[in-house]
Amino acid sequence: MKKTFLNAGKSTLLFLLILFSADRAIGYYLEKIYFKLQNGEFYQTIHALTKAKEDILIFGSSRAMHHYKSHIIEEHFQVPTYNLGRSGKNILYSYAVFSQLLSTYKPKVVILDVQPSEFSWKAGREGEDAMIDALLPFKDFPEINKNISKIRKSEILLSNLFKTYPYNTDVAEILGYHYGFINDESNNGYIALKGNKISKKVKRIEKSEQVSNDPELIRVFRGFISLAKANKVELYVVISPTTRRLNAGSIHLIKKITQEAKIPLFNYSELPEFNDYTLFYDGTHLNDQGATEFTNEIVNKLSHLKLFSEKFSAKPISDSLGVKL
Amino acid sequence: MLFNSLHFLIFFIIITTTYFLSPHGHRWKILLLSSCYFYMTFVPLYILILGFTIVIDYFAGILIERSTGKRRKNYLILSIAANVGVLAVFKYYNFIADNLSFLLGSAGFQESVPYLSILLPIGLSFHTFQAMSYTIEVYRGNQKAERHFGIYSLYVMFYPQLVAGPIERPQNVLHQFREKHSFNYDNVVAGLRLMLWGFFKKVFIADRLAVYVDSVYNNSDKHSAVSLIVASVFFAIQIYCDFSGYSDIALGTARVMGYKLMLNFRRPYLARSIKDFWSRWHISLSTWFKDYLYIPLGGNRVAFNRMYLNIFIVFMISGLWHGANWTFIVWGALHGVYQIAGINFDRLMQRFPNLKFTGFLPSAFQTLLTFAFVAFAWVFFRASSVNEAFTIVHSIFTWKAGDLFIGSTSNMLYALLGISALFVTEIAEEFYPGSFTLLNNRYKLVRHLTYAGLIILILLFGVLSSSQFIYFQF
Repeated sequence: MKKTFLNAGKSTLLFLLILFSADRAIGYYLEKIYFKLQNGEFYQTIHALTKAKEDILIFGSSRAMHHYKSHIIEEHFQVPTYNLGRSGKNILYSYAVFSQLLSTYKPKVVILDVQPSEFSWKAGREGEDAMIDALLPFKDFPEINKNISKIRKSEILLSNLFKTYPYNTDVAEILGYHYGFINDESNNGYIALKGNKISKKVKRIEKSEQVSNDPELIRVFRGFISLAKANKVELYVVISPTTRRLNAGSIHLIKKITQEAKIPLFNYSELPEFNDYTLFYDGTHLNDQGATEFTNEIVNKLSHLKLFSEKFSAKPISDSLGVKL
Repeated sequence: MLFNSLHFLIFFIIITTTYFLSPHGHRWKILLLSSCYFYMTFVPLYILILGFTIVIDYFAGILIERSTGKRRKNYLILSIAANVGVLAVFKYYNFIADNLSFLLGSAGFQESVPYLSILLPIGLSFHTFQAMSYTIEVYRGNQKAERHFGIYSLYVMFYPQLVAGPIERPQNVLHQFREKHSFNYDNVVAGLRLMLWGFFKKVFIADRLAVYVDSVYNNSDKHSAVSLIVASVFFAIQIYCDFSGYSDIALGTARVMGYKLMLNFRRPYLARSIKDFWSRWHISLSTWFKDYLYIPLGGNRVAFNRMYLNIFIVFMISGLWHGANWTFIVWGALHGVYQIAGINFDRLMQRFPNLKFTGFLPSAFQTLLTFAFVAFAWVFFRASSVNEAFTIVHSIFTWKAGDLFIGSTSNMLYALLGISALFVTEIAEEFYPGSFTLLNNRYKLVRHLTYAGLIILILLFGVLSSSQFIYFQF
């Protein structure tokens, strides 16, 4: 019996040695190339948490990433601007990144792009996974660690145990970006979508039923506003153009919360000026042409705001659509 | 508590350690308490339903054994009625109400049958069938009635197979709860190995394929024929890896503690006929239906037409067992038709004794054909309604134009990697048993490298968001 236990012990040790050596080796390699990436979606987070120094920052999901031509804003106001949007991420991700970022520097202006269905339960569940997936490589950053732990402490535990775990699912893309198989051309964080997949004229999809909202997402949205206010960061909330209005409940709440907090809200989701399907790549994303028109619109809007023009020298944009909000 | 969660991993380590450190006489209590806890992590209140059927069947077993003649049969009927009654209320009531309301509406009545606002207790069909097998076996005299209430409760509630089987027989398991299981290194290693392979199948293959399958099936009207075919083939592999992965983890968990549960899957997609498929797929359920329904109906010792009817009934009920939806009934009926067609084909082939389908190509063709039929039936199983299933079938057979939907390229890449690993392993096990094996390799270093490799693959490519097993809903 003693011999059996001894053999079992030796065998287990050998196994653990192989497992942890392989995990460490692969994990360190992935970590090294991950933090060296220079473009693509992963770089959006790397830039946000390790390099961002810009005065104007744009937060949000893929709709932020593909809708705001940060270089246009930068050229117009002569102020460094960066688009930090990332696909599939919601307010949970934006909040975690914003709170970490504030511990190193304070941007002057933040544009937060939210979705018409920002607070839906489904968005909440998917947003949690998306936030954790994107931020696990940064688990040693205090605010990131705090935000992940709040949702799932076990993720931090597993990431500490296994070096490969934070890169779960992302390996092919990390290698692709590193070795140049994938190359998303980014301009200050803006990644263009070319062409359009919509063949018909945009039809607004109105769903009358109220989708139940996730109170946690509402709380985090309020938290984002409070964080901006506490750090004297000028915040603008924007619902950028879409062909779909899936959850009127979220829009109503976004309006209510921003009004209460006295934060400007620009809602482009209901405006007829963006009904032109040629401006869209798909149902929820503008294409490059749409992004140019929309960014010009935003620039024009900001130029006319007293608070904003006091901070930055603004000049009106002549080719804007002249949208009245 | 899901097998593919950290919660389960911690639970398993604590329970297994406590089990081996405790005196033999107390071990059943540890297993029973842990099984109660395991079940109550889903919906705590539903343990009362389980308790109700356990009490009924425990006393029914003793009374059946003590009685003779008609009385004996009455106790069996009472036990079966209680079990089927629980199933009828919790699983089928709303389905029946829905169909009755539809019929009433069609007949011009405005009334509708009220719905029950209840959640289906997890694994209800599994433990109900396991409980029924006990009273039937006692009635048949193959099993002595269990006098120890705790041991009997454990037979129904043993946590590794409580929520998704295998559906055990009392002759195989009950005596194991009384036997002393000392710590056995070989059992522990064999069990952990099975668990690891089960986790791999679930989180690396099944859940990865689910990402693609869900994308296509959730918008099936928007996808082309080629995408629908790929999604249907992927679903066939997904459901196999999901369910057999669960079974492997269940068998492995029990094996670590020294318990041997029945095999539930034996490389079903390498079957060369539908009959062969059913001898390899969900073996514990198919043998249950054979032993307790098909044979009592007369089995194949009756006229051909009656036998066909028996087969059809069994498969329809098997479909209904899976869920209260017409999609499952159509799925079962399709398999019934396949079986009957298969029998007729075999009879036809008997007229040509010189015609033999042997050799690699005919065998491969038979395997592919069987897989195609099975995958076709899965369309009905996966679709949310019969209408949707027919729309998918129509899109496939009329070759709806369009490109192949890829979704995420990396997801597709991982999925194909997983499928390749599965089929290479299964083909090696089927045709070269004992050779080319990595998990059971005679060299310790190769085995350990394989274990570590699988864990790293799970960590890098697995879908680790603790998604539920498909068969839990049944």
